[in-house]
Amino acid sequence: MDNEVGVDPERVAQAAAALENLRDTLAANVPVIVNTLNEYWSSGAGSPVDLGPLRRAEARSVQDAADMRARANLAAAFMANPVNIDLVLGGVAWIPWSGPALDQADSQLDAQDLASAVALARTDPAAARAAIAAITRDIADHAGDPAFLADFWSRPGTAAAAASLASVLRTTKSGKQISQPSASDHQNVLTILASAAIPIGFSGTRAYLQFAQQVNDGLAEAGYPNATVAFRGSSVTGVRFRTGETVTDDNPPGDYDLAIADPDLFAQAKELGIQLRGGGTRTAPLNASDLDELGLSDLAEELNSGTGPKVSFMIYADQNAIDTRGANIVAPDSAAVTRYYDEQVQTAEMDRTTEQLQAAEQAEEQEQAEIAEEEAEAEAEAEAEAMAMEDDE
Amino acid sequence: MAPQLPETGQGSVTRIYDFYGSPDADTKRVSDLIAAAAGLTFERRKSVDRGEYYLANGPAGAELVVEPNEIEDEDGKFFKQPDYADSMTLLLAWHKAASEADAAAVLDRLRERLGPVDGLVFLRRRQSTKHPAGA
Repeated sequence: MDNEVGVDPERVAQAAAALENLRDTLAANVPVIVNTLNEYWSSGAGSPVDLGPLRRAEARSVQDAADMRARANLAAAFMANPVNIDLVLGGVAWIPWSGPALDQADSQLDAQDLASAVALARTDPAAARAAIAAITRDIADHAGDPAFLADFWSRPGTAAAAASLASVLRTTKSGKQISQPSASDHQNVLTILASAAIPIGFSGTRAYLQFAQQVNDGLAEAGYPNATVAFRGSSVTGVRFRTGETVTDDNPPGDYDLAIADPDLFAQAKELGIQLRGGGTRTAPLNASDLDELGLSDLAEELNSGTGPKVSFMIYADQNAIDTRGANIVAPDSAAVTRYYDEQVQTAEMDRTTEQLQAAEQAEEQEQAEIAEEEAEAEAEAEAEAMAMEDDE
Repeated sequence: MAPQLPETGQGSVTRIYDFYGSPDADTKRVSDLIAAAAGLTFERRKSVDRGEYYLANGPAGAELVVEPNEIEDEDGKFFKQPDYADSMTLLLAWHKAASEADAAAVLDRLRERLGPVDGLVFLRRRQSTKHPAGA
């Protein structure tokens, strides 16, 4: 408990709201103030003052708000557990306050909430949507925090859960459609996926999912349809092997280190006498000849045929063996990728249908208006005619 | 540079893998010697699992990888090829072609060119042939 502090959940939530307000206010106004003053000074008017502190305050407010929101979420989660209520004195929640412990606890909470939201969506889509929106906000708040994002996506099943969210949202337990996902559902899913579930170096969600599907298909063709794929190394940690150089989308990783978890494939590697490491839970790094023996040559050659990052493979007995080695991002499986694309197609179709319906409604309204106008004109003409006849008489 | 693998169509494919070793632990120096002898350019690459290695593609389509034999992970130091612990640096050259003769010809020519490389010894050759489904 040394690294944890006791907090009043309600007050921390208030502080989080206040910091978010400050962050939004600074984001909306600092650029305007800075530009206006710079223009004013560049015209020779007034004496320049240092605007650095204002810019730094704006930059820092993002992380400050995200951290305080994380504390508020953790405090609420702590108090939501009846076991903790019995232990707390005066409504105090015990949470990590700062540093990696706070990030890890927050990302773990988000990952748990995401899994819960997927389960909840089957019975209570409205509640699930609210939960997903909250996770989306938290993830968006951490957009510039690779340690948090790597930790969040390294939680087993997180990426697959994110990819399947939209489909789950509109199905019941029996698989019947109960409602179409709204535009905000779709946006939330995209935000979750696009913000973080992508190892560094991919141009976007589509490129990442295409790659994941290529690997899934290759493994299935090689006879391992149930294998799961995880990314390890600099594409996940953001730090290049040994040199410590930072890896970003502008300075992408040279290699993708893929960890394949499949008991059958692992058993095959053992049978072939491929060297094992990690207490017999994984292979040593595989060379082209090893991959050939395992029937993975076609996949490896296909993945390495372009000018982009090269792909290295290591086979693991299971996902636990991968997790033991540290940060990793589990790639969506075939079903999750398919659901994602189905969702995109259906949303596009829904948008088109909605547009067509709206156009038809507008046309009908216009037609009705024209008919009403014609009728009114005819009536007016008839009245005028009748009056003229009366006058004649 | 992307590998220039030959188009093998829908027929059989033979892959041949030639392993070489050098007692020199300086992987960069060994890759430079191989590059000079074979007329290639190696590209330095890094992998969290494989460590630092050098990759080149030969004009005939062969791929060459130079890497340290001894690397380290959480369990400690180990040899990728424990049977060749005298070799501190490994070279794996491989090629695929529609026939064994074609694949072997490319790697045999390469082996001749690598003959003068100081300390580099040929360790073993492995090959596999994949036949089209139903053949």
